[in-house]
Amino acid sequence: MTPQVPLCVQGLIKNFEPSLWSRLRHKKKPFTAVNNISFELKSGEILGFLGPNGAGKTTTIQMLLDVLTPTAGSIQYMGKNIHKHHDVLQHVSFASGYTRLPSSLTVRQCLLAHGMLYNFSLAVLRKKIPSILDQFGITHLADRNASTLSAGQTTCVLLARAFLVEPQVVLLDEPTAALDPENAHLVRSFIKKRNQEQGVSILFTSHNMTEVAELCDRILILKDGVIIADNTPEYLAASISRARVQLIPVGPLENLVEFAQKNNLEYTAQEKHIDIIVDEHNIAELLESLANNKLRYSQISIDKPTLEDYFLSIARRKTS
Amino acid sequence: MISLYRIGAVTFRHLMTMKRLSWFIEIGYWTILDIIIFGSLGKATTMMNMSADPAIIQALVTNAVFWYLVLRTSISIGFTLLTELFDMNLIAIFATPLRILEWITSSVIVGGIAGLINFALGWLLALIVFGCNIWSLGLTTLALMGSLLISGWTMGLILMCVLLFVGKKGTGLAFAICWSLVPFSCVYYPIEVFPLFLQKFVLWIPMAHAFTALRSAIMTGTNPWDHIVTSLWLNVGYFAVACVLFAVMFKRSKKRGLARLELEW
Repeated sequence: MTPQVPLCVQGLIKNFEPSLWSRLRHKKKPFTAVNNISFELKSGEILGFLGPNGAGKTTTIQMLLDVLTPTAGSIQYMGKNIHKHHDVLQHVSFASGYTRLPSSLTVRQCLLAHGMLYNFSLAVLRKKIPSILDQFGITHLADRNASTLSAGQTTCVLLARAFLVEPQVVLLDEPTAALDPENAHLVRSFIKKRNQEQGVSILFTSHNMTEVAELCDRILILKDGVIIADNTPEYLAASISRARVQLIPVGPLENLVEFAQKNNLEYTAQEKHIDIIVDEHNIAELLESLANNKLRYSQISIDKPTLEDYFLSIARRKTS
Repeated sequence: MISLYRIGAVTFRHLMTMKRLSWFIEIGYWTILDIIIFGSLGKATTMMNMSADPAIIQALVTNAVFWYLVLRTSISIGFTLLTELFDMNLIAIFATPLRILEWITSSVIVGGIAGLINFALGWLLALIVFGCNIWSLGLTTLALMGSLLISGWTMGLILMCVLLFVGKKGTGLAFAICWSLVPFSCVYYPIEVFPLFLQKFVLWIPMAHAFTALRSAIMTGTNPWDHIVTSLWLNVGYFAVACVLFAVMFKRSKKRGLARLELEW
């Protein structure tokens, strides 16, 4: 392990042991939320951390933030073990679309208190706060009470708070979940800019696959507490060979539906078109078969598999 | 290394919750009620029983004011954690370089400030309504203030330990545990009212010594340093134990995850 690696996770395990009361009353059983995972977040990398609900993403992030003690394994930031060198969190920041801001403070006060937690002086923070608010386009919210902000505005402030403290590693847990498309775009641009200009390493979770594919250099997919994939978004998407052939028929749609049923094809029929899912290698055969059956179409589009298709395919797959 | 900035950050964040009008109304309401009730009770006793010592009014009112110092300090410390839980800000606070000792220090400062504000309000009320000047006891007032402030800190830390164990759903239980000490603290009556076996237990409660000392100083005009010193020693010991207990509970809570405390209700 080289000290330069911003985040290095080795053999991380988290077993939850229910209390005696929970075992007796609710018949809860011990379970393993994270099962021996290891990965590295490289310098200047945006690493997507994906998985279906209950896969162990949040548990892992909580362990990375030192708010949950792992059963086994080590977490090292910049070569320093988080459990031995708590101060290393000085270089780590976090924002989640699901956390809130202290309700009794204004936005400016929230940022001030947070900056002081990272040992920044008042004089420095007084300069940095207007600048970061400006970068997120939320200067007008500076003196608003945090409890009066909308979900989207709160998320923007949480992100501003995360980047205020000049972190080397940022953990972002579904940061755009509560944002409208315009603000989500603004946030993505900001993350990309910080990553490119300052080399901030980012661990990013999201259920928006388009966003993940756009932002992330590499993706880890977690399922049932185990990492089942680790590669670039393009590679993962290409690893499934199924394509979607969309046809708008000349004549009744029912004929195409009947054809798909007769040939045992996977399909979804909409009001005016049908989507047929076939292996990429069988597209030519499908089109030939349609011609042989005199099934004509006015429009055709063929979509290559996306990261979302890959995600859905692994989410449906049973872990062996 | 301990950081004054981090201590300042948490202190600032919680002092901001105290600037609200509702906070002053809450402390004012209960303090006014208790001081008027116990002052009037003392007055009624002297009116009904002419041989009763008029100093009883000052003893009851002064003890009520000092009791609010303990109560407000402990509640305010408990509220520092509760506020973070209800604001769902606990993770954001502890996912930073903040250390446990810094958190305890900030909570103790916040609790102390809240307790002293409440004490000042009680002192003014006692002076205006019943003409009782708490500061007439001089050094005894100062020593007992210090001792009872530590009692408040200890109770506040125990309150936080319960919250760390059960989360938000344990709010009622946490305050109930703190209140369970009240009958044995001898705020308004002497230790001798208890049966002998209970007296042995009560003598281990520092607040019982402090309030006995206060009563004795007012009623007899002497300075019972034995009780004051005992209460101080017991308080310092219990406070140290409470700090260690808090650190242990925090570590234990982290094993189950701090996020659990925010979510379970």
